Amino acid sequence: MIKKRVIAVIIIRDGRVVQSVQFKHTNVIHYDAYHAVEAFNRWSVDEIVVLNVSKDQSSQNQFLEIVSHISETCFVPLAAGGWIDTEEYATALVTNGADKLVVNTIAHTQPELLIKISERFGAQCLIGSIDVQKNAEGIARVSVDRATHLIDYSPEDWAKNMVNLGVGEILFNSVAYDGNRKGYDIENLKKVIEAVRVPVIAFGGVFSWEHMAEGLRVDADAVAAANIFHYKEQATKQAKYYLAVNGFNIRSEGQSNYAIL
Amino acid sequence: MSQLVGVLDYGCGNVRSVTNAIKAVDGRHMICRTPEDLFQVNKLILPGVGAFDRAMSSLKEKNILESLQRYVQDRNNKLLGICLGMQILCHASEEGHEKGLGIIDAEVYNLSNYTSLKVPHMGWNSVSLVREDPLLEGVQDLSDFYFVHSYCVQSKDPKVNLGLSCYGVEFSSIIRQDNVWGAQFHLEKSQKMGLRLMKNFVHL
Repeated sequence: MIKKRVIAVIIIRDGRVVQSVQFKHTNVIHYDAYHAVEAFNRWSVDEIVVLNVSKDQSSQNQFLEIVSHISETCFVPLAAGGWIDTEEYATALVTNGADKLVVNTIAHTQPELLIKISERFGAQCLIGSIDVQKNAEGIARVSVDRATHLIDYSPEDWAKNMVNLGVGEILFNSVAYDGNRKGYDIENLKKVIEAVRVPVIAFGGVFSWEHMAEGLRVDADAVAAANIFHYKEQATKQAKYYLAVNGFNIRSEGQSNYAIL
Repeated sequence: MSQLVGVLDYGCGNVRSVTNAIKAVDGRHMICRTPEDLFQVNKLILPGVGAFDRAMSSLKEKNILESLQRYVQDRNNKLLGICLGMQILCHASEEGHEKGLGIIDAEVYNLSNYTSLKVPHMGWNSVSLVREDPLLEGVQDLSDFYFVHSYCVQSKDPKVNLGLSCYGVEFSSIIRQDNVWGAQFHLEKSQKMGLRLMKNFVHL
């Protein structure tokens, strides 16, 4: 039977791993993403997502080097995103070791480019990232460009739109919940899950393993977290153990260790 | 001297992930791009991501198709197809019009026709080992591997199957015919058990 996935998200700004709180990235956690990936790999993580949240497009090359470097030690699927604005850059990320690409803003600004990238690499290679934010009337809308620009779409309609443009998975986050230690934005997460037939990854707000269980209870296919995984020893392993004993179908590596190699 | 493994780069695969995994198990790799390259190695990995017809026509355009057939006729040479690279080893696929390599006696079917589950089948799923094989040395039965695919391989000849998996329908997840192996999942992205398979192939 297919397993529910536990995904570690690594947020990178100007080459350094940072903490994200409501999309503000001030606190540097690690100087080097490579070591974070090494640890998560040892701790049985199911997948890794690296996001470049730098303010400048000029960060593209530095991020590309980081992806290339961490792919050497990443033996689970590696997704990379942030500043994907041309087919060339998307291709460069893939040839440098990204198994999947995370796209967000281009679905709004250059939908034809998203279609092109999807045709080239297949929908299974593309994760559509959706950041939910309330508008002035308190209605849930989608925010693009690192959550700086609200667009007049409900999260569920935007998810459907992204799937039509060729993404094969959705990464759901919600600005007010991001880094806020209250768990996922379950209300909107649920709407998105019900709206699309592709896997949905819940993200944003995990401060306990129970928060991840809440995401799985509304039928998310995968649960992701960032900040919390950096602060606990064996973090991803602990999360998986908690979810497994609570009845979720989680991949276990049993007693395996590197000695079997 | 560490073992040399060729990785076929025909524009349809995640070559980088495969070479990273070969390095991780102390193998050496050579990227093969021309028909001549194939005969520099006696172990070759055929990766594959994307569409069946595109992969077949890409092999044809690069004049690799025939060399690949010749390569496997020499029983000292070993070949491992991964994901789409496994599917094109078969006779034909419901995905495309092109014929496959026909090296393995199996066909490729559209998962959507056999299950109401979400397609592609994406994520970690278990593999039931049904036959002993040097490739499976040290791999625990029912280990999880990382799958991403919309089409699946089934063979009328049960001897072809080394591993079976289920996603609404049972399909072949590891196959072997003589000197040719195939894995539907991405062993290069399946952590310890995946690396163990890779290590076994590198040292076959």
